[in-house]
Amino acid sequence: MSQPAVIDHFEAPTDEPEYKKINYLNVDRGVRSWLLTLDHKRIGVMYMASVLLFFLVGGIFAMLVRLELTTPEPTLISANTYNRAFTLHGVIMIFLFMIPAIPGIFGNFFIPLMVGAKDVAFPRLNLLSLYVFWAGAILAVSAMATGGLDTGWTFYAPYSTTTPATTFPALLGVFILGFSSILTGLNFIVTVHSLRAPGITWMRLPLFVWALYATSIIQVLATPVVGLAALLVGIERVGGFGLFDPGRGGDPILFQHLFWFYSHPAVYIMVLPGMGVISEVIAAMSRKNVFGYKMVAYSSLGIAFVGFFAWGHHMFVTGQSVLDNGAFAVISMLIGVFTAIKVFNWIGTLYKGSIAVKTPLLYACGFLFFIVFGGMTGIAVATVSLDVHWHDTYFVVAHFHFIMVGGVIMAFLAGLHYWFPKMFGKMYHEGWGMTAAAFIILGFNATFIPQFLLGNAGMPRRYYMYPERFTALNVASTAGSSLLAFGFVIILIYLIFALVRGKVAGSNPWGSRGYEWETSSPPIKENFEVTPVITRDPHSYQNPGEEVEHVVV
Amino acid sequence: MSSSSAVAGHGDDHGEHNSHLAHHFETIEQQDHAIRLGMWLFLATEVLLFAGIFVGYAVYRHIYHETFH
Repeated sequence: MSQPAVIDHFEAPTDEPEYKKINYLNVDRGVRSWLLTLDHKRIGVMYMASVLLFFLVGGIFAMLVRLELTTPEPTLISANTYNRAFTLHGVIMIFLFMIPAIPGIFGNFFIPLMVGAKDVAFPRLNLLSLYVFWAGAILAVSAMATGGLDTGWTFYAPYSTTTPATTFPALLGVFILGFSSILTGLNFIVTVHSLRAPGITWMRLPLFVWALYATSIIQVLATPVVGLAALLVGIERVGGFGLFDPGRGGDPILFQHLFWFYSHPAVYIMVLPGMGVISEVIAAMSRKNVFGYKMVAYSSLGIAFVGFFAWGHHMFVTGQSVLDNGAFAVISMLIGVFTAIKVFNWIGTLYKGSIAVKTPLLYACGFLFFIVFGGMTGIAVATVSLDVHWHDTYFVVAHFHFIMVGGVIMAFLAGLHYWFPKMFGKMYHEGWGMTAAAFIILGFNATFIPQFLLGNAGMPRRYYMYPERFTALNVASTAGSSLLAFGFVIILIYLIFALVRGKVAGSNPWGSRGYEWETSSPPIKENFEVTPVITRDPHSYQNPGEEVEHVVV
Repeated sequence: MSSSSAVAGHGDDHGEHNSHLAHHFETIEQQDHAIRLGMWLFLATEVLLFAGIFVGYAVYRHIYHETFH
């Protein structure tokens, strides 16, 4: 029997980059070997392909909405098509991109690697979650495309129960997608509890795993509630029970409670994994373990817990009591406290770190910017007296795009660039990476800062036409979004180029000490040659008597 | 001595030759733990799935107290 590999020190990357001839990508060949695989890494890659496809579709609808809004009058599409376009944009981006993106791709790929396991706890369930995702996605998208869903992604009753558009299949699609998310979350929780390699105690878990663990708790506990809320709307339409119809004694506000009980925590399903990615990237790029590791780990759980009790801040103007409003406002602000703990600790990590300015770090800095300014405007809209004015304006649109979309996209791209060599064994072009990062971060600001101003000036969200005086800011926002789109086109081109003809990256091009880099890149099918025994903290860069090295690539 | 051989025998019986033990688990105990935890979590999600119906029932029973009697 072979000795377990004890990992207590760090080996500097070798000069000759090595590409394992047999790895998880080519150990079995053929479409069938991919579709029936139980390998968490392949499932992660398939999630990546599907999620990126939906990101492209959602992005096209975003551009359509922005183009329509360049003039106050009808521009390109009819009012009805406009309603459908922003609904498609919202539903696709939230349910098919932001929720599955980081857990589905990086969670699946890296949680087993980071806990030193061969696979997730339930590999078949993992594959099932991908198929359930595909089924839900196909149903939801085809139903929206043919049925013309125009409710927005929130499906608010009573409009969703009375609109002439077909809503039931789309709602069923969302219900099914929820199960995919639940299965993924369940799998991760059990994996973290039962499959940690010898030596990986809870306080040695990488912060990405901590963040995904907190996310999984939300996925498991909150997703079923929105599943049922969506189903109730569908049942109401088909059966006509009048559950949400005030004309027959129903309560449309009940729908909002059920909906936001999930959909507010869903914001943390989207952004918490992003925070995990940023912890990893900042630690690797500044050659230090994250400052205040324990606090960053616990604050993930704090956000997950408090997030369950903040949903009422979406409903300040529904006529709920002043006491409720005040309580929800204060609880919402607590989220800001936990987020600030993380932000200060990340900055504390960068401080006096040996910083490598690489593409992942640029996105991490972009993340910090969007989280801070998105978070500050979040505190502003959590203040009841202010929110009454900002409610349903572009200020709210800009706020959640900053914190949620900005956060997820920055973290996703940071993770994509940081882990690209790990996943595919190839290196992207650093110069193009930085160029695209500049386009995306500047473009994102140029898109949404005008929307803050628009909302503050009183432009309501989801409107098709608007007064003349809002034209300039709307044009500015659309111009910004084209910069953003251009940035994504650059990334698409250089990443495809890197996949096909990129330089071989070697096992650990960043010299990172995250546990996932302790195996070859791309990893072999079993992840590690032998089960690793970890005797050090994640991202502990200083061996006794050794100088800290800089990133080599 | 006897305890160490018992552990080794245990590994042989339930480990490499046990068809119920999936390849990514080290021991059958670890696998049992994972399966139990997974089942409890699944039950938790089911409770919350149907919670919406119970909440709806509770709300309407509260609002229309008379109708329910």
